[in-house]
Amino acid sequence: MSKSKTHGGYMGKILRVDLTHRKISQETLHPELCSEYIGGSGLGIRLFYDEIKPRINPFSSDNKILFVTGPLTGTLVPGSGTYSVVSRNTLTGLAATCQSNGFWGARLKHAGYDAIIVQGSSDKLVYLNVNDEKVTIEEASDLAGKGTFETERILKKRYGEDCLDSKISVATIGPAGENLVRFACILNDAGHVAATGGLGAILGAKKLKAIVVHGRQSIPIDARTVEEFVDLVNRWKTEALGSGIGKVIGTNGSIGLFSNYQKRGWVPVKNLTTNLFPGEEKFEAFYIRNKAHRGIPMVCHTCTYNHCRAVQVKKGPYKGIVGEEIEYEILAGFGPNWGIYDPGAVTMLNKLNDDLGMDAKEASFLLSMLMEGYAKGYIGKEDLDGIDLTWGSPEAAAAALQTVSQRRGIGDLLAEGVKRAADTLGGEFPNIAVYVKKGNAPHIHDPRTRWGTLFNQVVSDMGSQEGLDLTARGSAELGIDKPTSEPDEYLGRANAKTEWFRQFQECLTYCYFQSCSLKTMVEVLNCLTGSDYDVADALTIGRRVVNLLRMFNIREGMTLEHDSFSRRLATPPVDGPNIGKSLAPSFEKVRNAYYEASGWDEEGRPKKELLKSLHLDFTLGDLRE
Amino acid sequence: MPKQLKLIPENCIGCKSCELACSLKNDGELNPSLSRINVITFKEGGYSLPYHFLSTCRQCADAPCMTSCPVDAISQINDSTKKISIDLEICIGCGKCVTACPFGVMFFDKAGKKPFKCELCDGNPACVDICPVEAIVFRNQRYYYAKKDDLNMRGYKFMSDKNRKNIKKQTSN
Repeated sequence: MSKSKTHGGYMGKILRVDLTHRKISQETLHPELCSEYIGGSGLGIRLFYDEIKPRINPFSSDNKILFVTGPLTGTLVPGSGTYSVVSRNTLTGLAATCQSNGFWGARLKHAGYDAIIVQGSSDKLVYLNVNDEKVTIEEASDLAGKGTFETERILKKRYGEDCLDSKISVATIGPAGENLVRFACILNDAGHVAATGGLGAILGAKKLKAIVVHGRQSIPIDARTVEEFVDLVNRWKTEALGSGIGKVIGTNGSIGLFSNYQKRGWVPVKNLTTNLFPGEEKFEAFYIRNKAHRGIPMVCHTCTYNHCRAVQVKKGPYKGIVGEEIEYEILAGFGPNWGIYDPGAVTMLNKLNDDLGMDAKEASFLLSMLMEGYAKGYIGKEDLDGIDLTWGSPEAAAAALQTVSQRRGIGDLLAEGVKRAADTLGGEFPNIAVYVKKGNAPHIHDPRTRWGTLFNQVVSDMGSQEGLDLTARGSAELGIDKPTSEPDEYLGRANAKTEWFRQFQECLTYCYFQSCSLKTMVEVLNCLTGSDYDVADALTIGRRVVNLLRMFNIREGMTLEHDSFSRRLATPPVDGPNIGKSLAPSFEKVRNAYYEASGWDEEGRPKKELLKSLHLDFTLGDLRE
Repeated sequence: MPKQLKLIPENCIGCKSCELACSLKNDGELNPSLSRINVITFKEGGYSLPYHFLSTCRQCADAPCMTSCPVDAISQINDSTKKISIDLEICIGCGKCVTACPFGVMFFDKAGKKPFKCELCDGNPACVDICPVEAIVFRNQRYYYAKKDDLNMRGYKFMSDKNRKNIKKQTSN
């Protein structure tokens, strides 16, 4: 079924970097793989499946980490500076695929490569400089311990861009990555983040501080289709701006989601102990953009939204601080979830957390757990190295983030993430910890009554949200008219389909906020690559990726028990609009319906016939009976 | 008044779509390093917030590239745009125009050993079409004469330094 005819959109080359032997080589990207997996997370997990020995420590030298772009990366498609990072999740040991925006992905392609495979480990800290054919491993001892912003500034200056951005991008880890914090992330282009799965710690274990990408290569496009491509991209942009998410984020950024989510009871407050908090008017996008901050747009590659901004805090104790505009999840996660009601303080904490290089999801639910424990007397100041970790203290939160990133004192335990920290602290902590999948924090919502968001992450095989949340909305592409308004079997069945769609999107590698109709996506892909996929093919590709991720995790020893959520997530809200509601009572029914709709058995294992029909025969040996 | 590009950097959001649209229209390739227009985002220095800077050929009425050309390959075209154009058949590829341009918007093609610049896409500039925020507009305006102060702008200095360094490498090969 090779539907991919030409290679437009692909550079056709993979860069392999062996840090142990300091060897750099180039390999051909095979068109058959592109045909079946397109690019991004799908292509990444396919390569990773073969590259890696099962059940090894994520930090071992045998582990690898992949940076993968897609055919649309670096084109005129809106928000196409994106790349995927694929490896093992350091929190769970399962698969981790995640994406970051900005410009880095586009510039990797302009350097001439679709992907980088990093293997082995260096004995001292190094960085990688990818500049067209010139690829070198360079000494990085001068960058040791430096924050992500300073690292980027130093490296860009070294290659000719002094305090400015033109054609060079840097992806880097901060001190958290170097110190193997299990939720360290990778940052690029000053504040864009490959957040999930502790992938920054994998770079830290390999002693690879950063990857600089720049070059002068063209991304291939068939000259005969240029006009059609530009027209189709314009259609994509129009559809994206007119979509529900486009109308909000395209106008006000993701902080524009706050007020609606607050009304629906989806904003996490104080570690999910309540759904009420004072001062919500300070969290409205208009207030933040016009009163609390001033800013200018600093968007990603080919983005048309009024989304990312550089901002300066205008009032309050953090007046004068310059940083990136906060995203919704961080506004909620470093705000109400920590009992902090000043957006300026959140901007300060976001900047700090980005500089240290940590995933905001895990950081938010880790500190919220400790703050609750501190308030309830489960843990004292002396156990927290003297940090007075009360609700609503930005200074204490900042001190805790620093401690974790350095693995100093109690930070050494906290750097292990929510679940491990809760289990080791013991007592009431396992009861108040917020995590899914036996080990990673969910996206920063109060997901308990946001059914799709919660269920989706409970059964996810890639470390964060694998499908779409259809609570209160349907999906025209998937023929789902009725929103998933209750935690019932319908939720499970709908979730299966949304995963196929979302994972196809993850293969294309563009900013998820810039989504158009599936039909337009497929037409753009066909036009650029000269393929003839249809919408059904797209969903089959997505489904292939979903099943491959699951098979990867089964090979890693994942069982039914992993598709679960922590006790706190099983409790119903005690106040707010969704008081008393919970997924917990019907969870098994929902899960069974999801397995069935996915074509899996009652233990959540894909059936043989399904794997064969998806051309995943190579995974059959990994099915445990 | 000639119809030329007006750059309004205050409107720019830094998406760099214009760079891709330019290379796609003029070279049939997706490659910002071939773009005749450049977006430079200054992250620090001078102001508390970052800012975007747009740079492309101003079609100077007294263009230094034109006057520096030893073989008169560069001239002002007598159409509605009064654009400055390179006749590649006359051009000997010496690169003097690249060094002469104080704005760093005369580029040099490695492979073809010839300079290239914005020639306004034959009256239908791709960068104007793609720009989502009207930071680049195509309209009638006064002839442009370079002012001394313009030459001190960081963006122009960055571009011209880069191009001059590049041309040294090229022509010394």
